[in-house]
Amino acid sequence: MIKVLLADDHKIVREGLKRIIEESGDMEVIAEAADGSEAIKKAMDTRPDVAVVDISMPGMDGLEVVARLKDYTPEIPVLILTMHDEEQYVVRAVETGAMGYVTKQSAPEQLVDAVKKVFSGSRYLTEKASEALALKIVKGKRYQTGVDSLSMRELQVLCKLAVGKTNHEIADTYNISVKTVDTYRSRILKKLNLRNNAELSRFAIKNKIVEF
Amino acid sequence: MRLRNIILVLALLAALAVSSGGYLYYSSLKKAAFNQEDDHAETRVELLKRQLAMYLSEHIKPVKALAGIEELETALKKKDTVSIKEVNPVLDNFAEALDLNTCYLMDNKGVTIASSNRKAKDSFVGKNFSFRPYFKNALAGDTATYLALGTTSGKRGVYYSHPVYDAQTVGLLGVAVIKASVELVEALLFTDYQGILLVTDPNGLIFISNKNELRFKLMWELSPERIQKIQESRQFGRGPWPWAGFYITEDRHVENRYNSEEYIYSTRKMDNYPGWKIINLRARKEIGQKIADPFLKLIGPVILVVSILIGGCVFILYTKALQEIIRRRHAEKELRQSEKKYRHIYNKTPVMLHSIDTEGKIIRVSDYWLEKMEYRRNEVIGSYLTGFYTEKSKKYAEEIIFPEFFKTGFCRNVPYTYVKKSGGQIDILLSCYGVRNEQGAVERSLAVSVDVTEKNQVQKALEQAKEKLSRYSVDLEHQVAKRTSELQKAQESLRKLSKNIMDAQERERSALSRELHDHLGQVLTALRIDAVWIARYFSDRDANAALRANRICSLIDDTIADVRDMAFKLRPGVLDDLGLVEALESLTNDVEERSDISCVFIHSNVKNLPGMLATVLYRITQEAITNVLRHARASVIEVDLRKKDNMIELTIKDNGCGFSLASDNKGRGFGLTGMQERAILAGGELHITAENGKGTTICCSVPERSHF
Repeated sequence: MIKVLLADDHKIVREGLKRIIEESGDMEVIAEAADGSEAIKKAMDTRPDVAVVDISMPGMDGLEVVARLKDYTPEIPVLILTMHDEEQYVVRAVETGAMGYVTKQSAPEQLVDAVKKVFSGSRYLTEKASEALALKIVKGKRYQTGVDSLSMRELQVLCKLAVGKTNHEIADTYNISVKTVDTYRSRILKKLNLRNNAELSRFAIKNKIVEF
Repeated sequence: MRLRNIILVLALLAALAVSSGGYLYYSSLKKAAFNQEDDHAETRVELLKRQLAMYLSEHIKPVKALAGIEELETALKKKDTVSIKEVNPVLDNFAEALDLNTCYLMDNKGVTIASSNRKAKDSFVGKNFSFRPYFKNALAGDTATYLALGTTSGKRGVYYSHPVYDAQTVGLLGVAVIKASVELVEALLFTDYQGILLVTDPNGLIFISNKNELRFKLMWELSPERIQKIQESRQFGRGPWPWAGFYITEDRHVENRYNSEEYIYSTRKMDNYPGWKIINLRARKEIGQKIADPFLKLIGPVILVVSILIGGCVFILYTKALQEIIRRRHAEKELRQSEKKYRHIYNKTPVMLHSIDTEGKIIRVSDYWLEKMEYRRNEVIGSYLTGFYTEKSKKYAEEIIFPEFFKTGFCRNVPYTYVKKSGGQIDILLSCYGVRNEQGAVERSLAVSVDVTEKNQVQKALEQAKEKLSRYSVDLEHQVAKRTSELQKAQESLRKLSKNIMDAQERERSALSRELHDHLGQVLTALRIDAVWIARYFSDRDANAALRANRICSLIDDTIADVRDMAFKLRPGVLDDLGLVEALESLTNDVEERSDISCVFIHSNVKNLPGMLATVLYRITQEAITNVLRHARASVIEVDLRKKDNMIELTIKDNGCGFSLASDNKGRGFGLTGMQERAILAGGELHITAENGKGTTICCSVPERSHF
C-alpha cells in the first residue's frame, strides 16, 4: 500500500480526491492537511510515501511546502495537485523540487497514475507541462543567437518542425489553423535567418533545442 | 614777419660764411704764393748774382793775355805810327774774337794811343782816361774790372784793365783795356722777367735794369752832397740822377712814392764789387693778380652756384613762409569767424547753457538759460552760479561736485534745483565739460542743464503707480500661490484618491479572482470528481446515466474554463503567486494562443518586485497589448523587461500601423493617459513614440523601490 499525505484547504475537494486515491486499492491516505504548515507537520509525523499538495492554500502556499519538505523530508516525493494549469506554475513547481504536477480538473483520470509514478521515483508531468519545461530551459540558455527573439509559440513550432512534424500535425497539437502554423514558420525562418526546414532542423540540433 | 627776417638773416649768414670761407682760402693761398714767390725771388737773385759774377770775370784772362802781347809793349815804347799800326790789328782781332765793345791801349799817363774803335766817331784814341779807377788800379799792378758809363761813347761798359810792362826793365809802360758791353749782359740776363731787376752801385745808383726808365736813377733818396760826389767821380756821366721813388716800408718791402706800388725786395751783394748790389723787386699787386686770377676762375662759378642755391633756398623758404603766413592769417580769420559763430550758436541754442570760471562765477549763458531763469544777461554775468541754486543744491555743488569737477574736468547728470527770478524752482540735470588751458588745468566750464521738473513729476507719479501695481502684483502672486498650492493639494489628493481607487480596484479584483478561481473552481472541481465517479459507476450499469454524468462533467469543465478565464482577466493568480516575469510570460503566451501575433517576451535581471509595482507594470503591458490587438494590425509584439541602475524599464514595441500623436487625439481613447498615470503613481515616467506606419513603442521607466 502506498501511503499518501493529502494537503488541500478545500474539504469537499479533499474528500473527492481521497476517494479517488483509496478506490484505487493499492494506496491509502494516511494523513490530511488543510494548510501548508499542517501539511509539513503531518508529513514529518506520519512519514508518507507520497505527499499530494495543493498550491493555493491559506498561510503557507504549496510551493513553499514543496521547498520545506525538500529540506526536512527529502525522501518524500511531492506531487502538486492544483487548479492552475499555466505552465509557469509547472515550471516553478519542478524548479522548487516537486516530482509531479497534476491539475485538479484531470485528477480523476491522472491522479492515481501520477502518485504511482512519483512513488516509483519518476517524474509525472503532462505532455504540455513537459514541453513548457523544456522550452523554458531552452529559453534559459542565452547562448543561442536569435532564440531570444522567438516567442514561446514560435519556439514550440520550431521544436516541432525540427523533429519533422508537419504543419498539419502542429496545427492539431496546438489547436490552431494550418495557415497560422505557416505564418509562425515564416517568422521563425526570418528571425533566425534560415531558408528552409532542413536548415531549421540543423539549427535546432546544433543549438541543442531538440535532441534525437 | 618774423619768419621773413629770420630767413633773410640766415641767407646773409650763409653768404657771409661762404665769402669769409672764400676769403680765408684766398688769403692762405695768397700767403703761400707770397712765400713761394719770395723763395723764387731769392733763388733768382742768387742765380743772377752768380751769372753776373761769371760774366764780369769773363774777360780778366783775355786782358792779361792782351797785356802780354809784344806789339803792345813795342808800341808803348816807340809810340810811333809804325808800331801803332801793328798794334791796331791785334786790338781789332781781340775785339772781334771776343765780341767786345772796344779794346784799347793807354800809356802810363792815361792817354789812349791805340783803340779798336779808332775809326769810329767816338774813337778813344788820344783821350785821357787817367781818372778812371781801373787805370789807377792797373798802375798799381792789378787787373781791375770796373763798371761805368763811357764818357766818350756814352755807353755803359765793363772795363777790364791790366798793366803792360817793359820786358827788360820791368817798368810799367801803360795799360791794356777791354770794354765789354753791359747792354749785352742786360739783354742776356735781365730780360724775360716781369718783376724789376736792378744792379746798383754803392750809392744806390741804378746801373743795370730790365726797365729802361729806371736806368741811371737813384734807388733811394740821396743827399745833394752825395750826388755831388757821384758827379765828381765821373763814373756815370754828368747826371742828373733823379730818385726813382723807392723807400723801404718794412723788412724786405719797398714802396714807390710815385705810383704807390708795393714791392717785395730781395738783394745780394756782388762779389768783387764792394758796395754793388743786385736787387729784385716784385710787385705785390702782380703776385696777387697771379693768385686771384685762377682762384677767381675756380671759385667764381662755385660761389655763383652756391649763391644761386642760397638764393633759391631763400626764395623757396620765403615762399613757404609766405604761404604759412597767409594760411595762418586765414586760419586766424576763420577762428575769429568760428568764435563769432560759436558765440552765436552758444547764445541761440535752445538749451540751458552756461560757463563758469574757476571761481564759480558765470562768464557766459545762453539766451534760453536767461529765458528759463527769467533774468537779463547783465544781471547774471559775473555772479556766482551757486547764487541761482537752492540751499541744498548749493551745498551739494560746493562740497561735492565743484572739487570733483575741477579735478576730473567733467560731470554728468548732476541733479540740481535752480531758483528762478520769480522764485519758482526748476529741477535740472547738469552735465558739464571742463575747458582746459595749455597747462592742462580746468580754466572754465561748459555746462548743459536739462529741465527735468516735468519729467521728475511724471517719474514720481509713475513710481507711485508702479508701487501700487507692485502691491497689486504681490497680492495677486500671493493669491496665485495660494490657489496653486490649493490646486496642488487637490491634485495630490486626487492622485491619492486615484491611487486608492486603483489599489482598491486591484484588491477587489484580486479577491474576486481568487474567489472565482479557488472557491468556485474548487467546488466545480469537487463536483467534477464526483461527476466522473458517477459516470464511471454507471458506465457498465446504466449507459444513459453514465452519459448524463459525462455531460455534467464536460459542462463542469467548460464552467471551470470560464471561471479560470474570468479570474485571469480580473487578475492573474500568477502575478501574485509567482511574480511579474511569470505573469508577463503567461500574458504573452495567452496573446499568442488567442491571436496570430507573435508575442516575444524578453526579460533580464528582474526579481522580487513589490506587488504594487508589479501590478502597475503588468497593467501597463496589458493595456498596451490590448491597444495593439485592437488598433495596430501588428504581427509582432515585443515586450522587454529589464533592470538597469535600480530602474525597471519596460518596453512594449509593435510593428503595427502606429498613429500620429500630434494629429490623433486617440491617446485618451487608447488608455495612454491611464498608462501614464500609473507610471507616474509608481514614481516613474512613460513615453510613447508613435509614427504613422512605423509602429508604436511605449517605454516605461520606474524606480525599483518606488514609494507607494
